[in-house]
Amino acid sequence: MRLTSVEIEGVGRFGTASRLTGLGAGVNILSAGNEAGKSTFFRAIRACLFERHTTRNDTIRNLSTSGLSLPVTVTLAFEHHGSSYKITKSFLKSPQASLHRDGREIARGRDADESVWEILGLSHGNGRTLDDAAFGILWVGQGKSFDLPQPSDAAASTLNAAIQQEVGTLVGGERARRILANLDGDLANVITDTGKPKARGALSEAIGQVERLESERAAAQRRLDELDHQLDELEGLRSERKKLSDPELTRQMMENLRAAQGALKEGEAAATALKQYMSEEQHAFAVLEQHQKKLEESIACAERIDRDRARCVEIQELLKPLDEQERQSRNAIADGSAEITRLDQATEQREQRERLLKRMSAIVSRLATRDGLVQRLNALQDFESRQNLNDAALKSNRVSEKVAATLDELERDLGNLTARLEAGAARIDVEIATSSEVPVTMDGTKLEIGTARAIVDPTTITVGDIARITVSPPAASRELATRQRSELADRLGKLFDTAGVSSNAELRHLRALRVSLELDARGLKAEKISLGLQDSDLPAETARIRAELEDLNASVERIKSDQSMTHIPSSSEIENQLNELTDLRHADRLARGGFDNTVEHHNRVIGEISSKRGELRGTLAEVERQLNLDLARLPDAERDRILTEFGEIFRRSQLEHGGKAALREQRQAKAPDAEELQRRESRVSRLTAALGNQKSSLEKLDIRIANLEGQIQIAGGDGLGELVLSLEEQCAIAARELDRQNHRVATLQLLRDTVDSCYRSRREQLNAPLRRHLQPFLSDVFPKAEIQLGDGFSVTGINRHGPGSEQFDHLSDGTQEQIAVLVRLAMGAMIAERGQEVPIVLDDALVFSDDDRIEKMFDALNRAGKHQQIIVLTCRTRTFAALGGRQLTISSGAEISPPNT
Amino acid sequence: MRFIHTADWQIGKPFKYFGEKETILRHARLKAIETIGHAAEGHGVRHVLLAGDMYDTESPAEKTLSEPLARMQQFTGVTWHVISGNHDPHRANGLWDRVRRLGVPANIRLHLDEGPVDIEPGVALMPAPLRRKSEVKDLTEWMAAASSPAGTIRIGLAHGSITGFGSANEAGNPIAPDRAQQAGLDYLALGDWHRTMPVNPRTWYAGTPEPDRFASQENGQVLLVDIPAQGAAPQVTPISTGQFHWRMCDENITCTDGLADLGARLRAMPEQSSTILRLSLKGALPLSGRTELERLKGSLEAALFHLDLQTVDLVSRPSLADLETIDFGGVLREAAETLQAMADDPAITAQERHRAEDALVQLYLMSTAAASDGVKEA
Repeated sequence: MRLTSVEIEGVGRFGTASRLTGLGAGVNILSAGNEAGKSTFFRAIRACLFERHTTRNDTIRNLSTSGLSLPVTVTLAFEHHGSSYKITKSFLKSPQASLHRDGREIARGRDADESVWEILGLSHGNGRTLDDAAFGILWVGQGKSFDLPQPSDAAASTLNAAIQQEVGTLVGGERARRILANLDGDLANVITDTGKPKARGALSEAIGQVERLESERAAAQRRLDELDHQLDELEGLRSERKKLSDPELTRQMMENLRAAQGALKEGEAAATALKQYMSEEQHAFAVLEQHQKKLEESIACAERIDRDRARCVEIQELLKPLDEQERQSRNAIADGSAEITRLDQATEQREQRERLLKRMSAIVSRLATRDGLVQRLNALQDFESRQNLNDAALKSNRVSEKVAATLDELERDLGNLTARLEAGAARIDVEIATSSEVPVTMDGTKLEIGTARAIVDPTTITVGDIARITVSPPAASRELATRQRSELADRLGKLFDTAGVSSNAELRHLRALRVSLELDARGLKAEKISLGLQDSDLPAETARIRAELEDLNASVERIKSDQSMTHIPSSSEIENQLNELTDLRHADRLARGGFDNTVEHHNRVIGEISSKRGELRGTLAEVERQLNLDLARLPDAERDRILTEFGEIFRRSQLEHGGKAALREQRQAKAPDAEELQRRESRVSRLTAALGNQKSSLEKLDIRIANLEGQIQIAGGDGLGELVLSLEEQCAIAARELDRQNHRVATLQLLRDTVDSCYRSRREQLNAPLRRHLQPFLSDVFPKAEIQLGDGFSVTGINRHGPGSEQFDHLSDGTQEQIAVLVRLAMGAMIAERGQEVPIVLDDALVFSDDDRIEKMFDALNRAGKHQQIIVLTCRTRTFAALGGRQLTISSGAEISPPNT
Repeated sequence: MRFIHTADWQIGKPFKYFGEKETILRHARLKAIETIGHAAEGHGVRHVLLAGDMYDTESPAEKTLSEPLARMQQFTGVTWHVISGNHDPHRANGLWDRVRRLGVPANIRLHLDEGPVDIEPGVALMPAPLRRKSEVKDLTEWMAAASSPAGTIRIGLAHGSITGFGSANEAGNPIAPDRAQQAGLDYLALGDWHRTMPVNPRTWYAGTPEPDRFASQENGQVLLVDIPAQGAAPQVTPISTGQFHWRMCDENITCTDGLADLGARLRAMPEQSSTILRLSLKGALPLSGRTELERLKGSLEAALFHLDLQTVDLVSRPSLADLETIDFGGVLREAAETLQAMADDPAITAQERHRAEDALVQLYLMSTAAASDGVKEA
């Protein structure tokens, strides 16, 4: 096939009719800027060749010119096997197709679509897709030139056909590849790439079917087993029920129960009668006890009367000696009390004497301190006197430290003022001749040997009577100095007034005195402290000592007067007298203790006598009261009669009770005992329960049987057995189908692996034709290089610089693209050589080639162009200027003339 | 006394292996009841004795339960005497109680307890129903002790295996081989054995009226029994009742021509549309023969009711022509020879050899298909 003309309308940017002109054999180049519509032409050519004219898919819709309601119209003119063809297709709007050969229409519509494919050797597959065969690998769209060609099935067939033709049929590569493709297709329907069952594939369906049926079968089998179990259980229950409901057994149990109930009733009646006799016996016994008690009480009463009478006599005998004993004790108490009184009086007198002696002893002790008190009083009086003098002197001396400091300041200021005046004043030197006798005075002071001084004040010098010289300083300076000195003199005067002095020396003298007085004051203060006094304690202390001395003297005098004594005894005399008094008091205390004990003893004796007497009298009263009561009940006159009467009644009761007891024993011997009665009750209960249990068991069995029957009926109605058998067969069928599928997959895999293995072993043989066609193109660009080919026409590497090879994936993008283009050129050459020329279209390829390499690629393209049509679309006008070949142009509107067909 | 002896109807048996034809086979078993009924009417028989296994399972579906009853009910002049078998034992509230609840037609008598039953004046039926699937003891023992008036024809009805009969019985349920003699039976009607079989002149297995498996009997039948008088030898006449013929055919194939011959013979077989054929082939066949075999298979499947083709023992041996058909050389020829070597390799498992063989056949088929496509394309 060789394209000769392309015309489009309503396609992309070409709303009006546009034509690609200049197409011819060999290399064709359409060089135009971006968005010039190069790729649009390319896509329009593909659509015209490979799409049905009725198609409305995205490929076609994307071709239409936006905004214009025009059909997409494409007209191609091409030469093929010596004939000229023109195919025109309009898409979307009023779709139509027409095919002309050598100027004559040979097909229209659908026929036109398919006739073109037949002419070009294309397979239209299932009618929806089109395998574009060699066109797919030789027409390289924008951005696709980097990819190694991966031929579609039809393209591979085309290539393989070429190879087959070259290497001979014995290789069988194409047939093997087709079978491999079919096997892969078959396997892909049932397993995934990893060998697992493919969802919704036959194998997966078979597995699913087995699992589903097995699950259903197991469930049904479980239910059937349960039904079987229920049937067994039901049979067992029915058998049990039959045994339980045996009439003979029931009759026997009823008879036993009735017999047991009769025996129980009889026993219960006997027991009731026995209870009556026992009650009567108990009543008789109670009456007997009552009469016995009366008799015993009467006898006891008589005995008590006798006993109480004896007791009264006895108590009265015991009371008699108690009065004498009390009298003796009272006498002893009186004697003891008198002695105690006497001793108490003597003690009182001795205590008075002892108190006097102690007072005297205290006075003696105080007298020992009187000298000390006198001395302290004198010392205090002396101290008071000195302190008063010091206080008076300090009060009169007003030259305080501040006053002295003020004086020093005034003197210093006067000195300074005088010095300043003298420094600025005239100086007068007076010299007196030693021989002169004329008195010379200066301001009234006689000068002996002369003098020199500054004149700060008017100074009068008199020389005898000879002269009176007054020297005055300048008035201005003197006035200021005078004023300042006057001020200082005033302050000094005031200071003197404050201090009460008249001169500096007096002031300084008084200041020295005050300092001395202040030192004395501090000494007095220290002395006061040493005397143990505070500031205000001195007069009080003095008064206190005076009062104490006066009190001491008064005490001495008073005691001397009171005791008619001339002198106060000594302390030793007093001590002796006190010791004597102490001894006496001790002796009295001992004596008194003895009397106290005697009195206390007798008091206790009297208490005991009183207590005993009270007790005896109380007992006597109680005995007499009881005696009177008993005598009231049992007077002595009636005693014998009453006792005899009660004895008779008691004996009659004994006889009555004996009769009742005999009757009771007689009945008791005949009636069943409690244990027997209980046994009979237990038997009745047991037999009643047994019958009840039988009834209950039957009821339970009936319920369980009914329940089971219901369940069985339901399960049986489901046809479980039939279902299980059916499912078992279905499971077996499914398992067989699964085995078949597994076997089929394994068989296909084995076949695929075997064929593939053989195919690979012949790879080099199969690749030889492509390698032969590739080599010239490869040498144009990569001299002496060798390409390494893999499966399916893939390029695995290149050997350029020696024995080592480079992996294709590791090559630069530019080199990869160049090799990919060269492989396509080789494939094109191989196909063309077989007589199936297909144009090689490169849309914007070789973008990463450098100047040197692209020149070589141009050589390769031109080499390919010698045998087939090459169409290069590029926007790199300058770079591709060196490609040579035919320059294509896009013309539109009036420039278009009808294409030659 | 004339009656029909039948057994092993096994109504409700599934035939899933037959796919859509299952219904037909199930229906055929019901149809056999009508055939028996008509045969009874035709031969003036008033009693049909069913020796167990009326149903295939102890818990059939409700519909399955009532289907045979409805068919038996049609024949009002015939009384059907039924005992339970090992497939349908009588258990409390089980299958037969369900049947009772459905309502047993008047002309059907269920004998679910042992004990003599007078079915005609001077004719006593001695049923021995099964109460479980497998009985250890001989349920017909009681018949010996059961008395009957002098001159009474005594007919035993039981289901089980004759002791020492050498049958691959389906369950235990032993029956003494001389039970008829011991118990003074004029005839002992047995069920369980699906093939018509006399044990002795007075003891017979009726076989199934409609076969359900291969290796049973080719066609179903029942027995027409005539007992002229008590003690007289019974006259037993088989009556064909089966609709389908279960046939088996084993063939040794050595060449493709053998297939053609086999095809010719099988196509001459009578009653093909009601024949269920198990065709077991063994021997060796060239790859090209596989196509022929598929062709034969297709034609037999079209002619027969069902074909069960067994080719496990039929190996594929590629001829030189087969290999050349695959290719004269190159990749595919090499692959074919590799697979052939594997198929002959004794060192690998039989399964692997079989797989290699099938792969070779597959390669052959794909090659020939590809070649024909190529022809078509050309």
